[in-house]
Amino acid sequence: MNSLKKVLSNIPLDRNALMTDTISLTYGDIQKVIEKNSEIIKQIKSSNVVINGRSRFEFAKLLFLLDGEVKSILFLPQDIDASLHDRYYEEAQINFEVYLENDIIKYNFINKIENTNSSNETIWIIPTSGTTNIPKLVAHTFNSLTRTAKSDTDIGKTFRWGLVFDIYRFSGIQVFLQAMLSGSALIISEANASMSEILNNLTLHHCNALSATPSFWRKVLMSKELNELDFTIITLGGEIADENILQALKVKFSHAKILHIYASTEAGVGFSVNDAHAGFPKHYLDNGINGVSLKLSSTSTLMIKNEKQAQKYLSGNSLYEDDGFIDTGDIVEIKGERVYFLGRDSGAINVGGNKVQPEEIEHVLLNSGYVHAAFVYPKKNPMMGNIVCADVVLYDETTDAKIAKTGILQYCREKLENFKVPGIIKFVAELETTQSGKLKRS
Amino acid sequence: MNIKETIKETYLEVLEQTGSELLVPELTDDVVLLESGLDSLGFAILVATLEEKLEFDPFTMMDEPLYPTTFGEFVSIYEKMNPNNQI
Repeated sequence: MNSLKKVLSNIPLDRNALMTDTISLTYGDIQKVIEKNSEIIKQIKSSNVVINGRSRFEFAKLLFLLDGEVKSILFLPQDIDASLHDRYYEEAQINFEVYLENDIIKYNFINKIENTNSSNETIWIIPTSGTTNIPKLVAHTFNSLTRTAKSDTDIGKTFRWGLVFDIYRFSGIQVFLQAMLSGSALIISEANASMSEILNNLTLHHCNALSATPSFWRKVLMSKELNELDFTIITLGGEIADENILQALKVKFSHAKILHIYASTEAGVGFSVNDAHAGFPKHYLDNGINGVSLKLSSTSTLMIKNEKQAQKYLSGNSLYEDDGFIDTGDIVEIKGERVYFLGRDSGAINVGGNKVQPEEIEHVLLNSGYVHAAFVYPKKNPMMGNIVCADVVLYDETTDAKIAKTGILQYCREKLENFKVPGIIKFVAELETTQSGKLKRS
Repeated sequence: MNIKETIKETYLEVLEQTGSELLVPELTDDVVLLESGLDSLGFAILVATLEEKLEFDPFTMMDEPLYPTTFGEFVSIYEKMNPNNQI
């Protein structure tokens, strides 16, 4: 069994580990924080704890202190609805909420529940990103999360990873672990940082390895800080990486290694593609790749199976089909020797990494007072992956189009987050329906 | 109306549509796009709206994909990729 603390013993202590725009900690500094807490950690040993909306920097330090000591750590990002906390605390049988004050662990008592978890490996409980559903809790371990992470600390010393994903989420924790496991520096930007602040922070610390969504990379390529930046490793995840963004990165950072990664909270560590082209080689489907087997379901969704099944829903509901595969819900299409991602089987639209359920938008449009019928669908877009489009039938066809559009959009902006508001609204005389009378979704 | 004027006009429409405000006195060529008032979602909508009006999306047509930083670069991509251009 490995743990974050054990990783520390392989890394020269004078190396930079965690860097923010104002503070830098070496691996030795982290070691000292651990030693400072060696007594107090015993008070919460073998309990279930939650880290609730603390800064990313504090979170990173807490993981070093807690991994291998407590039974489980529940990650609750700042953007999780507070009304769900009690429910998650109960599901994860949380005993304490933990945080740091001057690098000393503090804890608040939550609940005294008998621990039924008998494993001696700390469970890392990560919420799924959730679409319109309530995020589910998925249990991972240090070992399941680091299955494909490189751990060569000689090579690692040359890398300074930027953390722009949320460290509370699967994607962010992957970046954190990759950096720490190989003794690299991790440059941390907080959730409230602007794009400019993030990029300036990366420049300040000479970031040369960055993992981000395709949408984030597009913004990097459009930023005025672009020419200050240089990367040796570029990875893309969290959304479908299209040919445009991959090629644009290749043109701009011609000597960088460019990887797009397929992974998710539910499916765990998946696989990566390193040829800077969209999709993945078909032979991955036929032969598997790095301990991962792939196949297609009857509805053309990608099914994935890790050699070692590690992650599971905390609720006890099964993530897996009988044969050990997980249905990812991502629809794929085979063209020649390549497999391409088309979208989600739930119909969810991915707008710059945010998932939008068309039915929710249709519902709001219908309540706007102008719209008799509505059909919401994605449109591919070079800036955001997709944007939300709506075909609508007005109650009164004689309404001035500009007045109707303004009224509808104003209502949508009041009711919906920005990325959910239709970017394009078309007025149509009627909507296409299938024979059963349902809206036709392609 | 030439392409640049169409882009400016559409830019202002999308600004209004998304409830955003122009953050610069004027849309000159050296204005940095992401600091002009529209965020990246706004630009996504701008590109989609321009595609409706101009009937082409230059970003899907480029051999070497490029993302513009300034308003001037944005306009020149449309000018350069305009299929109606007489060469």
